[in-house]
Amino acid sequence: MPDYQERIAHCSRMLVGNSDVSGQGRKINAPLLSIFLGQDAEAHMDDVLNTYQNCWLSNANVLQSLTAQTYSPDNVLNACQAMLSVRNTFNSYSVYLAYYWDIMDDKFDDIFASIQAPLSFPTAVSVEAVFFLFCRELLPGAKARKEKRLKALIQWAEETKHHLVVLSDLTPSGLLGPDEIGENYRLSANILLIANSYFYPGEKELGKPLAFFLNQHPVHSASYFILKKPTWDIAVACLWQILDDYQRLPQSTSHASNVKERLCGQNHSYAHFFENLFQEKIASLLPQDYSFLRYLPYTSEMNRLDDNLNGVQRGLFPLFRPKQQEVVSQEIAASALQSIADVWNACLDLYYRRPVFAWLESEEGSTFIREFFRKKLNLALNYDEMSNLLLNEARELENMAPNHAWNLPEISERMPLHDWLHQQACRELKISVFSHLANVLATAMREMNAAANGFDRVLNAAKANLQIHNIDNRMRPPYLQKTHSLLVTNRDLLARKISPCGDEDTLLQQAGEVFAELVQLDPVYRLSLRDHYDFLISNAAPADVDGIIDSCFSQNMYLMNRLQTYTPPAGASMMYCMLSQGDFDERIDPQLHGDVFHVPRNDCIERLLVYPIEPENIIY
Amino acid sequence: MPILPLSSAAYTVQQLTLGSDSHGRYLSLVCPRAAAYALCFSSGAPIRREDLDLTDKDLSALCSGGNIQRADYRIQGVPRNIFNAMPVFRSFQAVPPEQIQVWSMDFYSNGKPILYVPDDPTSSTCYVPLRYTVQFTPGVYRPNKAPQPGLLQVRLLDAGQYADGALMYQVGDAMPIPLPEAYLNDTFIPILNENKPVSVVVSPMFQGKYVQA
Repeated sequence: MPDYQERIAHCSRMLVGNSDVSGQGRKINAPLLSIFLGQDAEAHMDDVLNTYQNCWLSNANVLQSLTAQTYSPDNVLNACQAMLSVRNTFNSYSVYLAYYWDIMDDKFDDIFASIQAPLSFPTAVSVEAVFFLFCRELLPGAKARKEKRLKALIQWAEETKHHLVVLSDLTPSGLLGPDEIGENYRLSANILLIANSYFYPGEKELGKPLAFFLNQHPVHSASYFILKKPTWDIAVACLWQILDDYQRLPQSTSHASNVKERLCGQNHSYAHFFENLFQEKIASLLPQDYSFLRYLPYTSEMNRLDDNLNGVQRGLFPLFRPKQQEVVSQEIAASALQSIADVWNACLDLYYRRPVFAWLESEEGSTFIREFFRKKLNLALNYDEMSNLLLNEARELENMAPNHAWNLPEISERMPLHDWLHQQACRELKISVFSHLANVLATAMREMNAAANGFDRVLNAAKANLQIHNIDNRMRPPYLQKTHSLLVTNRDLLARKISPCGDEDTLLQQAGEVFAELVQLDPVYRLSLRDHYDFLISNAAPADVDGIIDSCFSQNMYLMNRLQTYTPPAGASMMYCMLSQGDFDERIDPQLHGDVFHVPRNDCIERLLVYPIEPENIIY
Repeated sequence: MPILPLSSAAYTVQQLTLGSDSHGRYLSLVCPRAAAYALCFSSGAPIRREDLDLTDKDLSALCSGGNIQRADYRIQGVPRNIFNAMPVFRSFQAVPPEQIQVWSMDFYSNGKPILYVPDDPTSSTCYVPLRYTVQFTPGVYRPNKAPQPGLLQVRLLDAGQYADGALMYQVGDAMPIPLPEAYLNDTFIPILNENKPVSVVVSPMFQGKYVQA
């Protein structure tokens, strides 16, 4: 079963726009090392790193991370030293260690033991550390395991002055699903974004107060709410439409009678088709200065050819001879080449065949030729025709290739000797090159024929597995329609990118490549959250934008907590609203919504609340 | 099979000289610790350690003065006392154009032979080139007359294995034209060189293996 989740997630990430035209993102305050402990935490590494990337953009590239397998005091030190050696990225050269720890993991005891090993940083480097602990409540024996481990960790944190942020997948609105569990990792990464971003003079400083707040208590938890553009649903709708449009290609191709005509054009032969490729890629490999051909052994037969090419008549009575022919005598030409056959073949081999076949047989050349033919076949035929027609055509080509002369015209125009010899050399070269190309083309035909057989089943399965019917009905038609109309005007995109294949995974990958080009073609896919809603409205989708936005800002964050406690969080807390600058700023009341942390990404509004908890208040 | 990379100066073949006099070709060298020498003759690319296909038995045979023949090379073993018996060593036969790679050999304390082959296959290598001569008789170029081509003759002075295309003739700055064997020795090649100089060059693939006498 192909990994639909991963493919869709990959596409949905392309739909996140950002409002930072500089591409720099926010500046990072201090080097940050992220340490992922436990299998589930490692599985959500991308959620964390993407969250960094969407805020700090290219600055985040210098950040490092470790896993339980690579964690050791030495590796921590090495990773930090590597970050500390990067200039002009950080504002402070203290170090931030962020542990993302799935404490329900089977290897908890080993991890805990390794975490307790002391880190030996040089005294000049100050180190801040925060532990994000993730609890999964539905595992067998989860209650006892959570209680035992959490209590041990809290005791350790109190003794060693470490700071914990505990998050659970059990929320007041129910258990987080597999798609939502990543939210806890994103929430944790968001806390670090605020605590470890650099705030320019004049901008309200949010990082230091949050870092200070986290240092005041050993145990914290957090609440989270997100209103986001449904990038997942949009990606699914677009991928489905891409596959559907490809499936409909049979009705939109030309009606030329056979494969050769489709591929080579009306009244053209394969020689014509190969000639175009020869001129495009191969001609440049031939000697550009071929004046040396002038100095081939000048036998009497070559002398005759030279005279023939120059229209010279020798002898005492040229007037009594028949009128000079206008074209080169092929008999004289053949005789001349025969007279220098050994040298002629050595030159052909050294300066023509060897460089050309070296390229054709190289990785670069063979890949280029294979891809060239694959694209041409995709453009010429739909997959139904590939399935029905290509096998016979491949057989014909294979039969024709070995001894075919390709009907290449004789070089019969008058011209200087070395020009004529060069053209003759190209002609002789083309005979062997075209036969080689014919074999490669036949192989490509066979491969595409094999892939096209049963491709309908692959296409239908992929479409069905995308489960388009589960997509929100308000946004499905506008994005389906948008994608379809773009594909109608860019029909060759489908043929260029999608080729029949035997499995859904390859097909989804190809559809993803089409999707990536569509995202570049039309800005509608990267609209901000607000513009996305406007797009829905302008496409007659019933969307109560104001109501939706209001519901985000009217959420009671104290009820959105990510850890069950006996009494709701009260007292000191830090509340934040994360959104793109200029989006919905007018709706924010700092008293109700907390401080605003502007981020470049503009596809969502995130709200979070961080608060301390007493260990005895935790419900195990 | 102990064919080892050469890492010790004591086993490095130094001052390797291939010379010739009225008695024929000779070799001389200095190597402080070798118990025997392996002379590897080949005409293609120099032989590398990984190209060697030799068993312990083969190595023992070489140490005792035996010969090994393979498709791409042949090796003549020469014990140190035989090599040093005369001021220079003459008991070898090379078929030009060939290269001779000279490697040192010794024994482990248990009597097993070792062959030391340097990482750089061109070190401690000398060449037995095929010598050739060139003679060019210029053509005649007069206004309003049919030009008379010049005549090029290339002769090989040694009996050897010529590789087609190893020698090439060049007119002026034009690209050189490879010479097949049929065009050597008694053949005069007519060239319409248009008063430009004609020379014979060695193909880059055969540099060092052919020299003009």
